[in-house]
Amino acid sequence: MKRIVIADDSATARMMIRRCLEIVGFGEAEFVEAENGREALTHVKQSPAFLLVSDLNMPIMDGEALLKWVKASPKLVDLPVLIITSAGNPAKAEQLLNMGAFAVVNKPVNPALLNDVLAPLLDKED
Amino acid sequence: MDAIKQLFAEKLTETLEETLENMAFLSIDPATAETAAEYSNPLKEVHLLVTAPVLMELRLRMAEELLFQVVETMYIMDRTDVTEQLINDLLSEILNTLAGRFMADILPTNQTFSLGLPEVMEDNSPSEDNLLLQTFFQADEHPLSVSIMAPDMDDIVEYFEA
Repeated sequence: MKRIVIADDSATARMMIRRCLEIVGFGEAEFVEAENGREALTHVKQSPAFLLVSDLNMPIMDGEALLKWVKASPKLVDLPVLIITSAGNPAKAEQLLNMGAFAVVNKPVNPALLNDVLAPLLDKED
Repeated sequence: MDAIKQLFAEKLTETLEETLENMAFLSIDPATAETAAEYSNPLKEVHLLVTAPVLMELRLRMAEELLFQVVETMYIMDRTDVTEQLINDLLSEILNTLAGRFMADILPTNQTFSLGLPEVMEDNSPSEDNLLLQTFFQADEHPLSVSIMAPDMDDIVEYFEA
């Protein structure tokens, strides 16, 4: 079973992201929710994840710091990190992609957007 | 300054329409301060600071009833199960998304920006001194309004007229 960790300080945002992921083909996945980057990092270290979806602007540890920690860890470096942010623009997106983000998309998300972005992962085996 | 206010008002309306349509399947219509003032049911308000490249504050005020309706639809929940925390979270996320889209729209493509975290506040009407813009809308006959505050109007003029 694919394990997907969703990090966002908003319960509403986590719910919306999860609904969209279920619609685009991850309906059978195990979803783990985190309220900040530190919680998310703990979850992905505890057990292998298929995908990490993270907001950028969060308390305690933000999405950029989370991405740095993940990409600096030999065990986690291959984990795809999808950044979903309200504070994004092309310059920020390029910076995050250079840091190793799988993709960067702006809020609000919808199933069509996530389907396009996650297409390379949708048929991937666990 | 009038040109900046007009640009902000246009972009704010566009981004609010997109945000509410995408997040809550809500459509909005323009309204006036008078219609908002006539509304006698509870309102909720959330604030969010823009900390770079210019200092501004965005405030979103929405009818609590509208937020309840959106939560009931989005979460597929009974009214009795909807908590104030969930209502506040939705309001905050709407403003967070709105602020991001608005800033991306008004700034040059390669200009990064920073947003603070949204804070739900007790009713606190904006002071006229710091008020840059206030726009009124309604959705399903419930009011909502967005205000933009700026501590230093000269900074705003200098940045956006450059």
